[in-house]
Amino acid sequence: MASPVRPGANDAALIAAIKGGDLSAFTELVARHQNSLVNFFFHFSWDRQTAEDCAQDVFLKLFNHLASYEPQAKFTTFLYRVAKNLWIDRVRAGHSAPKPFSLESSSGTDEGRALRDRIPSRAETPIEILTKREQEDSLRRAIDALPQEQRLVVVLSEMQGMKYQEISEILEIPVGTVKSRMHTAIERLKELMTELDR
Amino acid sequence: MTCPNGADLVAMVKRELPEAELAKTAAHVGSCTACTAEATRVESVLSSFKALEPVGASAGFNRRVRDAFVQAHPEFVPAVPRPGIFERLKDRLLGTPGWSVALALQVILIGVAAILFINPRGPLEPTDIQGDPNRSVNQSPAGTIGSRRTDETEKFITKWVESTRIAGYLPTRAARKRAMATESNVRETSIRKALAWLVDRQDASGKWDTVTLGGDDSIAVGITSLATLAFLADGHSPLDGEFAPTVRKSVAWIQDQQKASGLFGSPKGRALYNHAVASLVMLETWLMTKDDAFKPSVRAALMYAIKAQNASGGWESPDGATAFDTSVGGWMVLLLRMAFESGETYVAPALNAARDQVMSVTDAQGRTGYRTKLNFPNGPGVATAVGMVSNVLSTQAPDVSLLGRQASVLVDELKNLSIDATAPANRDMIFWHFGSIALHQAGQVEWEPWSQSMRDGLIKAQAVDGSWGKSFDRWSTIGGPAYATAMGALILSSDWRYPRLSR
Repeated sequence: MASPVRPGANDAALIAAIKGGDLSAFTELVARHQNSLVNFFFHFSWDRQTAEDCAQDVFLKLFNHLASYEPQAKFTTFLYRVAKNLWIDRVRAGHSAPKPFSLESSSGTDEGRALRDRIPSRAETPIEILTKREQEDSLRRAIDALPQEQRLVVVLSEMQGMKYQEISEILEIPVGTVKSRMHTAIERLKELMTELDR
Repeated sequence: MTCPNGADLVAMVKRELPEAELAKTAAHVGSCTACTAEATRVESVLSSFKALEPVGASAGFNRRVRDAFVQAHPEFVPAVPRPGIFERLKDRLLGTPGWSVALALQVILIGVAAILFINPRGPLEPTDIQGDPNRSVNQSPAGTIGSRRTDETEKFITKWVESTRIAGYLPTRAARKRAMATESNVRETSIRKALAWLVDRQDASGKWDTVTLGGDDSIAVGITSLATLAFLADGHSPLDGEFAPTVRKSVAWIQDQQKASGLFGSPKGRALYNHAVASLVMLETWLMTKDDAFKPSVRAALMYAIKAQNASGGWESPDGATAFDTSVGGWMVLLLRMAFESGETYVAPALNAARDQVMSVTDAQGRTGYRTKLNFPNGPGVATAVGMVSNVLSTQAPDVSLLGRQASVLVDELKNLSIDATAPANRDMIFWHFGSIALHQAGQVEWEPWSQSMRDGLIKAQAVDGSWGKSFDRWSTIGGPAYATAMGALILSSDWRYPRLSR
């Protein structure tokens, strides 16, 4: 069903509308944040279906948490706090062990891509595609090997493009801790990628 | 300054340090060989993340979340006046013949109008039914129903429009099930073979390549769109059906051809053929998947089609290379009527202007000229079929007397352009396609024998591999085998492809 176009309505306005029982405001809010949230979970699970299931859970949980949302706070901070907690809970419950990753399974990773991403670029030769896949595989393995707290910082910073300040608010840790976790993660990634390239 | 610690160095590379500190650290790194080397290594690790492409939500995600949310929070389901009656009525409408659907819709319309005009509350500003800023209430029958509305009637109208529109029909194609249940599986097998042939010849990018398969490159977008329509008509969408992966790829390819102006493909040559068929694909995909991610593309395409219409109601190529062409009008009328049915009611003036244009080149016998009255470079078949489609699919009441004359012209012309003809020059799939839509929509007595002749002829003429060959009809040199095979499947699907819509 079509949701009304809401030009200029900010997230806080949408949330106020949702609290007032407006379903179309909810679908609009989902539409705004669904891609980034699926992207976030994909970089933990490497599985599109799991990523979408988690993103769906977040949007459903969000409604129950709206009472604690303060309009002056940035909505994405609130959203990713819920997302982070959900992922940690899943890991603790043993539902979300990262999928074993191998070169054989890499061909199947197309399923994880968006519809339009699955079309290979005409500019890429088969060798370029293979090289890119190998780089991707190696990087994924390295990310998998990071401890969760470092991985969260890396994903939020590098995949979601967030600044240290926002990451610190989401993870509820000082900015200095974000800085040091990022540094440790980079050092670890350097080592892991070198080992994997051997 | 001493060398920064590792965390500060990473923060510098990521520009996460405060301005003053950033300048100082950068100045040091620039003059320190060890720090420069370390910063380069950090940059190298960070740039490797570019290999991981972002992943977005799949088509249908938004709808899935919404449905789950409504299930968890039923209080969000909009209240419908007279609960229960509406859903039962909708079910009945979708399962009954076209004439009774039209009658029932008229009864509902009168009821809605009555509710609106007896509303005791004061006048309200005319309100767009679905909040579309591009739509004017004065542009459509639905919008001119009245200006007195309460919130309750507004909700009722919205629910009515959304639930009776073609969107409710396309995903289920109830008529297909009925047709298939009452006949042998010969037709089903024929369509399936045609679709399988197309699946095997789709290239990696999602298109049917005119260079390798044959056909004119100027209608490459149109051919891929025709092939995609054939899958949609058989119930395969990007989300559902055995051939969903094929449809996903082709729809993505078609979407990639859309320019910022809304036009699909190049503005040169046969641009509006391409645009009309591609737009129809996007519209049907949107309706079948109920995924609003397709909506911006559909709306941009519709706006382009409306803007491209000339002052007399016809369409000609955007670069001016081709004059007004009736057959482009046929695809446009189909597009606009389906859009209207799906709630995009602002297209009504363009749809009716197209009808007026076609009528202006139609003679007393019911024959429509190709570009002007009595202009029949390829016989009166295709143009008259389009004329009949325009007559029956505008939002105005059709000219019934003219429908009869048009049907006679089509039946007569079928003798000259028969499927059984041996020469490709005497076969015309575009004529059969629009003729099938016109006769089915009009519900004329000629429909049954016409339909039988199409089924028997096409199934008999189909090649063993499932295609209709490289030179099956007079347009095959331009369209190639993908065109012929898609058209064959579409013609065979004519009686369930769209419900009867005539008012």
